[in-house]
Amino acid sequence: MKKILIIEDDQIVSNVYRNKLVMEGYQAEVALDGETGLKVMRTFQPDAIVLDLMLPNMSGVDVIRQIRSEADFSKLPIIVFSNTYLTNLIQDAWKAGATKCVSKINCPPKDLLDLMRRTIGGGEAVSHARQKTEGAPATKPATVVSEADAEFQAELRKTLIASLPATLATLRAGLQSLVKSDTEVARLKHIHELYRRVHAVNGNAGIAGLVPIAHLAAALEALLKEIYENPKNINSSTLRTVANAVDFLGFLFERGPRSDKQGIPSASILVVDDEAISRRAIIYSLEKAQLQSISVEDPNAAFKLLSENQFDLVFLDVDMPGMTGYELCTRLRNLPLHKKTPVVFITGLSDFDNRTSSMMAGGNDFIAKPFLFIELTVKALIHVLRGKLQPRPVTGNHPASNPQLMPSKC
Amino acid sequence: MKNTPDNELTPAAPTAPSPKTDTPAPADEVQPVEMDRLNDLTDGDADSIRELVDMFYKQTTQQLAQLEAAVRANKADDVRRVAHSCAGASATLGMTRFVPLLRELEKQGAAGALTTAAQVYEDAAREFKHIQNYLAARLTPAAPPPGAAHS
Repeated sequence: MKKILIIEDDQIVSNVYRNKLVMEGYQAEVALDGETGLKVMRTFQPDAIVLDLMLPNMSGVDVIRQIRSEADFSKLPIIVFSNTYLTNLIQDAWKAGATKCVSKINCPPKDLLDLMRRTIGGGEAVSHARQKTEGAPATKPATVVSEADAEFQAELRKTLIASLPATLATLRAGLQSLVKSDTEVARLKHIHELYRRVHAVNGNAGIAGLVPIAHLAAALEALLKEIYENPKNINSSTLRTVANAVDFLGFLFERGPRSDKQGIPSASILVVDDEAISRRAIIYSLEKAQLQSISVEDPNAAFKLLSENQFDLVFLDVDMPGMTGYELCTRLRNLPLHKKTPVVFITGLSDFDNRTSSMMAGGNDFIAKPFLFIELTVKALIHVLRGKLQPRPVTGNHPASNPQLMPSKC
Repeated sequence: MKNTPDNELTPAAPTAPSPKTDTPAPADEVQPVEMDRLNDLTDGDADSIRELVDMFYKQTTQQLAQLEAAVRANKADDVRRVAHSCAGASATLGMTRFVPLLRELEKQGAAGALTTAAQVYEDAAREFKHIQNYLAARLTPAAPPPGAAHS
């Protein structure tokens, strides 16, 4: 029987995976942190390791390095679970010797099982093996397998959905503590606690197939990690984005299974900034969430595009020659197509006066320049998901249906 | 051959060389460039970093020339506009010491009083050279260590 060691600090996630693997004929052990995982590995002698990169204390990448430094385990398959939005961490995992990296956002137990079968073989269910020795048919009918998987998945989802109100209350309490904290030490402590909670939401939603929740939680987790590790990035803009994301998670929780079928919906996003490097940074931040955009440097050209096409979200630089972002926003609000299109201002001038100007011009949100890339990603996800879950009537051309409007590079 | 499932992540292109560590800066010295931001913006891809840096060099060289001319001609609004744009791009790329100088020029331009703008411009031009030297030392492709394995 093939043996698998799961190193994962979330007990719900690790137990769900272990149960599924055991049910399908693997021998599986769980370790809740990196140090314990290494000890168990030496005695258990697994055929593969499933490793969460975001572990407390010893990091997942350090665990991989240690495994690879031990001769007995230098070739051992290591399947890494990670957060898609932490691209640098994933690169570190590859460099350290990960065999495969899997996104936690959408990895129900069945997908892990399939991955294990492809990687190390095995995984014939116990009952299946018994049937074989008794001369029964060698394969289970596909319908029986998929029905059992669906049942397992439905049960998982039901359990998770039942726990969402309590989870939301905990997240909101964590956010309140963060907002009220008056010292940097206290603030960092609360950011770290919130980060661990959001990490758990990401993992649990990922195994239950609640994809939009898992996506937003993953992006928020990456933002919290970034500001925890670089406290100079804690400012009113990043804290406001964290608060918006927790609020929006509440909205997604209330929808529960009604929003679980799709990943990130396709959206048409317009980026208007006269400066090429800033445009590139915005486009890159959107691509982190697989969101494509059209970018223009000239506000007049942007207005023409807006006059002729529906967009789901608009990012506007404020200080542009010829027409400011505020002026462009005021003009676009007069267009029937864009009375309610979300508009996010990107500005280095983030003092109160400019916030007032942004709201008076009809903007919905703003982000301070230089922004954290993941902060802009989180903002875009909130607006795009909200727009798709509370759709506005589409009355004009959509850029996706206009072949002349290709997603652009700057 | 089977397709890679949607949730499996693939490695990126070769990553940029790590910053050289033979002459570490004192802990309290602010580096001219936040390399983490550059790496983050390009997913650590060496070619993308070089492309972005080239774009920054070209754009900034042009903007510094415009700034110099505007300061000499005492055109405060031009100073404000160009310094603002240059500061935005520089902040995006994490040019930590360059940005405050550009913000100062932007401030003086907005106030219509280019009192110390000529000196601040000189400081900015010097800092731009520091940035170029700093990046030149870090973006040169490193030779692979002897016996390095290729996967």
